[in-house]
Amino acid sequence: MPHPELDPDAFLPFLGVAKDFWVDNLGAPGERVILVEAMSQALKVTLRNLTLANALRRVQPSRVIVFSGADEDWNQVVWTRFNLDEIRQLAAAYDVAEFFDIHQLVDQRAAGSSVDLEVGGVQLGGELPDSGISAARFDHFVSSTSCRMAKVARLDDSAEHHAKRAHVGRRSAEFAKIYEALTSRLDVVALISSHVDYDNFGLAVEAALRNDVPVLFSQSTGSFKAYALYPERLHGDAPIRASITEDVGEFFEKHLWSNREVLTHNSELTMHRAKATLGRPSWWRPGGEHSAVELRTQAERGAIRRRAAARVGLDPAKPTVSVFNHAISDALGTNYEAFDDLGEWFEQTAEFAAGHPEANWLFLDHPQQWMYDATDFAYHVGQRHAEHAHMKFLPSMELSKNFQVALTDLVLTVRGSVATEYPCLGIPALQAGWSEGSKCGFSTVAETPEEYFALLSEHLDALVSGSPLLTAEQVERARLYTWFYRAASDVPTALTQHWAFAENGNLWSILRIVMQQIETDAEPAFAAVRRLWTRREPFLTRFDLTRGQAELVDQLAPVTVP
Amino acid sequence: MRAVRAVNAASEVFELPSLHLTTEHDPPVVSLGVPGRVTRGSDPVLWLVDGAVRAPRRLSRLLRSDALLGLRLDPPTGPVRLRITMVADNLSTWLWQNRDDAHATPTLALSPDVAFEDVSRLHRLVEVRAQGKVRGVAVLALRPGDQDATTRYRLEFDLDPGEVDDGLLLLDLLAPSVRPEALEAGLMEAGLIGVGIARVELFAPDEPLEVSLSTGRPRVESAANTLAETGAFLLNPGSKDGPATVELRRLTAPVPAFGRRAMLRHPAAYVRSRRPPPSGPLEVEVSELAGDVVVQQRLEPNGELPMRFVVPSVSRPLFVSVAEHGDDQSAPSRWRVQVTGGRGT
Repeated sequence: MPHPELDPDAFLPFLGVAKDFWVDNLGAPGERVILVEAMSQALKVTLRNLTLANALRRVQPSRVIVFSGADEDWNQVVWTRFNLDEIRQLAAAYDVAEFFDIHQLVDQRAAGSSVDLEVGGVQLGGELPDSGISAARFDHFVSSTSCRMAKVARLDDSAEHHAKRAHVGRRSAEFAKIYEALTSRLDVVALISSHVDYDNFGLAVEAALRNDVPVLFSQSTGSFKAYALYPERLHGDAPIRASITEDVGEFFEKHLWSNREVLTHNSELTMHRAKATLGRPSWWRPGGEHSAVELRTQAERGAIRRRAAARVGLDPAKPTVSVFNHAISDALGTNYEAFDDLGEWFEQTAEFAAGHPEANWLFLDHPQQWMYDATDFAYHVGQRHAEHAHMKFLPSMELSKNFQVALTDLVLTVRGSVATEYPCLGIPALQAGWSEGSKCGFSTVAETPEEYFALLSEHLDALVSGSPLLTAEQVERARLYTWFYRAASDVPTALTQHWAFAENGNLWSILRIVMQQIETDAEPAFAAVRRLWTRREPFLTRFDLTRGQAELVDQLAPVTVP
Repeated sequence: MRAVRAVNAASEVFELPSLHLTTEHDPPVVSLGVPGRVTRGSDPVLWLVDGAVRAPRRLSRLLRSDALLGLRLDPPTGPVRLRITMVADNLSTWLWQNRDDAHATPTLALSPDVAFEDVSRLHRLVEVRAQGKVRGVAVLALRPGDQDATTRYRLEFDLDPGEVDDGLLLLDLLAPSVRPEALEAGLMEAGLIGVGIARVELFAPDEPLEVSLSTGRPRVESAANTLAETGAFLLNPGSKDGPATVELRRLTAPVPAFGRRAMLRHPAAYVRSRRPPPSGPLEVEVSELAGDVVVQQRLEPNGELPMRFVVPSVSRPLFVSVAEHGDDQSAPSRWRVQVTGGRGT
């Protein structure tokens, strides 16, 4: 879908007001630096990054340096309307000290052109030493970026892919040098980035962490969400997102699960809303009622299961394993994964399924696969198994969520959000890799292919024998995690508004009014960033989750039951 | 192959022991009693939609070629008659003409300047099933000049108490997979998309249900149905199986003159010149939804008297095609259709 045009009658007045707002709400900048990424076409992303940066500046006085831009590949494959000028204007209104187009710089350097560009006092145009990144990790970024730009599950030996890899490799080398220079030569407080993957984003994150610079990883959903990556919490060659998984798991156990008695009603309300697709993360499947869960009982599920099975061509009396295909070139290797790539997991799961007709196997392709795959990957896997009546391959959006929930008895994914969503409904999930919530105790995680297929066989045996694969506690954990994701770790600040506000709508008018009319004392964004930074917490929190049950209840302001 | 143990013996579906679909905040279950009606998508009696959306001013709008509506009923203790009202209107046309916009979530509101595709020679077919059994088929043919720019069809059928003993009524709405040739021409591809389900009503029947017709043009020019240009219509079953008599009366009233032409010639001369020529024999073919022909008959004209034929059994929906053989096919006749029967022998 095309990115919306901005309304200048709303945007420009907002910029003027924002400029004055930040003059009043920031102190002297100091000599330290916050590096801010602004390489997404959506201004809502840059808005969040800049708000994070300025909130951090209130705790740690700093200057902000913004790096932005896009290249031909990103403009062809990902973006529809990247506007550098608008991003630059927004940055200027947020009191940014320096702004440069890093993609242009990389292109010039990769072409061997000499450039004179000093950023933060560091000359980025001339000779720069190589990055200290390991060869293996560098190769990972080149490979994953090449796959994304080529929209393939993996690169092959074709001339086209060799050329793509070489092109990406040249640019990645320059990105790595620039990021190394910035994070090692400047006194950097933090790097703020909306992505941790691919060469343009991920190499900055890698350099920062390696040079002892924390990273604030803003999220493109909710109102104001961000994870924090701290150098001291990384382990060796672990993938960048692995520390998020471990930190979330630890925090969940210590502060959420231990307080579940006072949080149950809240998590039940979030779950009730989640069934109606309210508050869904921005990248989840759209479709309104097509994506709502309306089933309540086994009887209702059974009645709909018969319909769904008849439509798809499966036997409703057999258990059904639903395999949710990932967007096959999406951020490959970003966390621990059992298989070499997302495509291999899908293909090998299909091979396994072919030999197990005691269950139905429903292979559902990702709703946004068209943005990530130029090869009809899932279709071709389906064709290879066309003679197996117990295996069906469909686009996910062909079936309503009601039909999917009616049919699905076991979910298979690598790292998808279905591993949370379905356990919330009492439907077990087996993951072939880590995800943000995979250490919160509601899904089963395999770390090698051997372990995955062994666990899968055990799950099948349990389904056929009628043994439960999920406990009531696990359902409660999944629902509590959902509450954590949508409420506890989402800061409802007026300074960004909810993601649902459109850039071409009234977002800028609302922000202008907010900045003019609302006093900033105890502004939630400022308080949340302060809490995260001073305590080294792993994510922004809506309120203080660490002070024990009585304080928790006070902050939650629950409904009093007579 | 290993036997699956967790199968519900009564329903013959697999049941997952760990299933947990409810939350503390789910609203109370509301079910529909007899008599009762549900007219808005927000009514909690409508517990599930698939391939459709809840409508603000009607019950639902269909968005796919295979839709399902789930309603909760108080398990009936006696016979129940259900009436489902289907509509085609301008919003139906708009939703249908935008059906390929896969990334858009449909909005059920028309902007004032929207342009509609011309559907004045097209029609939709909707097959209605309840509890998996075919109950009837509707022809919906929206025409310029329809009151409120809407055409409606009300299908009625009876439910036995045992059919809804668990309180879950499932209405499937789909496109018939086999159609007679007469209905193929002008059939809207994916014609279910945009159809509105205005309401569902339940009541205790006080008399047997007669066989009913769906021609696509209900009560347009007279109290009875007229055929749309298709030359085909549906017979929908009544309460009891039995023969039904179909009467076709050729409409001889001239097409009214409008505008400048009415001013140029003497009105009587104009009327005489527009009177349709005498019809020839009618070839009638009655077929099942699956395509099997059950009646094939040639009806000879008898002046201005109606032509009749008998269908021995209307226990399920039947297509009726009527083809006219006459000297002048450039001005096909218009027919009024009536049916009696279906109360059982």
